[in-house]
Amino acid sequence: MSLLPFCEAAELTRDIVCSYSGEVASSLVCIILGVLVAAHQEVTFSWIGTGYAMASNLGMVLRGLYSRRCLQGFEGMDGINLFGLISLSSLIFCIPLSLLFESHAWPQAASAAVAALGSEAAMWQLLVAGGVFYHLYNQLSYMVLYQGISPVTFSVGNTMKRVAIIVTSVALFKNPVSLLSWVGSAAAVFGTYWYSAAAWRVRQQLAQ
Amino acid sequence: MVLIQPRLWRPVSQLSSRSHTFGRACSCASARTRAVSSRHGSETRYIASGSLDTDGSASTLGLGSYVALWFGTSCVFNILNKLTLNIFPMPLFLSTWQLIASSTFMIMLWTLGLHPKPKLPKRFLFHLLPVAFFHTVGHVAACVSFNMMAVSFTHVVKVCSYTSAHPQKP
Repeated sequence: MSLLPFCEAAELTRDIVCSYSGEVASSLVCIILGVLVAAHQEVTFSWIGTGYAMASNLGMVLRGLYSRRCLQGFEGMDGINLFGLISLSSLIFCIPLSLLFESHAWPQAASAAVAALGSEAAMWQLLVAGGVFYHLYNQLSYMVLYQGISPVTFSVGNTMKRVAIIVTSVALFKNPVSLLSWVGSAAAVFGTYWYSAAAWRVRQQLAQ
Repeated sequence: MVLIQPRLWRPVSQLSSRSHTFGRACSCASARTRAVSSRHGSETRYIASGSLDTDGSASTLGLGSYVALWFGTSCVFNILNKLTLNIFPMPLFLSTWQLIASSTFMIMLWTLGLHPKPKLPKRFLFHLLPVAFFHTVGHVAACVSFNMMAVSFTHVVKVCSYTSAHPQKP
């Protein structure tokens, strides 16, 4: 596995972040403050949980970096095919991981879940529905991509999708979210857009 | 060789009004892909296929409906996921289950011919394994995070990865 994509991205990020651009610095401060404020108000906050969320970010960014090489020069390889192949080959890592670390707890948790739901059929329905919608939302994201929109527009759409998820989950689960928490989340979203615009400008300047 | 994003899915407006089905879109797309590959022989070129609608508003409606469905299914998935985690707090099992679901769907699409199968030379697996590893890390870590904290806060943290992590042509 070549470290080249990772090194290139790290270099580019370093160039952007260490450039004396007030906009980049301000946008990063905006993001960090926004997340800190939202975290401070969050009842269910935990450092480990946040660490896992950051790890997930890192994993997905690295996936994106390395996947670009997979799409070059291979016949019949488009986004959704690649996603299917990635899902299949991820099972190589995922199945042993889950068997090793969690399988001891499955029987007990399963019986508790069935007891909570009332019947095993309801449990299966929930699982199947989750799986179906997981695939559907990924499939639809590729269908949106294939409408010919630019990657930047798609990223904007992705962020808006997360905002929609945040709003619907708070509405349905009714977890306590204070006004300050909303302000912090909005600052994080705004900071993300601001950073991507500022980083783009810095990139243009560096390219000259 | 200039590689342009292949438009394998035509906008909804270009399909006949009777058949807005998955299968129809896929079979039209695969026919076009085959025609392109046969014209250029062994050298495969991805050409931006499919002419755009002259009536811009119709394809905007198509894009809008896809985006609305995308947002809707994402929200439903996240809610179902959290509901499942609330009663069955096994994130590793759930993330594996979701990957199995996705793989099953794609295998179904490939075997039924609803989407063109990719051709896999030997070196492809070598390129694919690191991608699969990072995807596993990203997916499993997210599920664990959903289990530990509220869905809304995890997504506030995830909003900060602005890089389009979608596998796509550069």
